[in-house]
This record gives sequence, structure tokens and C-alpha cells, in this order.
Amino acid sequence: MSFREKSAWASIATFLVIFGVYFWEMADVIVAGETETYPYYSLLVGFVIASIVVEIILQAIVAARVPDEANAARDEREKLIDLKATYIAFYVLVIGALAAAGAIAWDIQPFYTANGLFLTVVVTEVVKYAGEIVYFRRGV
Amino acid sequence: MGGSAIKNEIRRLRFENGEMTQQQLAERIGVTRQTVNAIEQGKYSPSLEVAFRIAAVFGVPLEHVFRYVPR
Repeated sequence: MSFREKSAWASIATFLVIFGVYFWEMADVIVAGETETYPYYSLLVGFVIASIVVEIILQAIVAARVPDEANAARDEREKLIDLKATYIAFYVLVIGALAAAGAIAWDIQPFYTANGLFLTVVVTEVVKYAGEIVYFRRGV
Repeated sequence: MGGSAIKNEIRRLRFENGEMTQQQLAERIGVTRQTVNAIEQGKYSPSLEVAFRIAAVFGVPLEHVFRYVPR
């Protein structure tokens, strides 16, 4: 497995685990009917910081195992894979952005709009890294 | 995706050129070993520039390395 693929696996694991916990917590907030009072923004900032820290640690571990590959620039196949995966993920981002715009227009509670938009960002990233892994495995 | 219509003789050419490794070829043409492996397996069709570099490494014309097989 190449450094880029390991890096994609590390990123996808970080996003799924950390933000999986965050959205699980948000689901509890919805079930408890506390969406108008719960201070989700501070929790959101905390989880974003945690994801950055974990991502840095995981990427450093992956890079330390293959420093030559980690320091090398992407070659043409890796650039193509990055572009194709980003292209797919872009659709997720557009759909989420349009949904958020609709939520604002319909005056939906900020809790749902903010978390919906954040979920869009997370899903976009997960789709991008998943796309990279598929292209690395199946060919491009 | 896999099953490209462009077939190649890279594996045979590596063998005939002192059993050159994928890593050695990758370093000479400026890509990763995994990309050489993907090209060999038909999972990636290289750019024209990389294709010419591969042919140059083996000292053969391009059509001796790659051939198009219509599906």
C-alpha cells in the first residue's frame, strides 16, 4: 500500500471516528429536544481541534514509516486520483450547500442548519478519501 | 478503471534489462513504484510523456512497450 493510500485511510478513519462521536452526541441532543439550548458550537470547535490533532499525529506516524514517499511530490497518477476523487466529492458539497441555503431561506433552526452544513463538510471529505482509496485499488 | 485497452510489455522488458525492479524503473521515469505497478497491470494508462520515458529507459520505440488492443 502506497503512502498516499495509507494517508487516505488515516484521514477517513479520523473523520469517521471523531465526527461519528460528535454527530452521535448531536442525535442525543435532538432526541432530548434540546436543540434550541444546547451549546453545540463549543463542542463543534472542540471536535474540530481534536480532529486536527489526531490527523497530524496519524499522518506523522504514516509518514515516518516511509519518509521518502511522504516527502516526494505527487506523481501524475496520484494527481489524477486526487482530481477525480475531488470531482465526485464536489457534488456532495454542492448538494449540502444548496440544502443549507434552503434551510436559511425557510428559517430552519440554526442548530440544524449549522450541523447540516458541518455534516456536509464531513461527508464531502469522507467521500473524497473513499474515492481516492477506490481509485488506488481499482485503477484510474 | 482496470482492464485498459492499452497493453504493455513493461514486465518482460524489465526482465530482459537485468531484471530491473519496479522501484528502479520508477526512479528513472519520475513516478512512484505503485504507479509503475498500476501501469504494468493495466490499471493506469500513463501520459504520453511518461510512456516515452519508459521506452527511452529500455531503448526501444514506444510501440514496443505499448500497444492498443480494441475491445
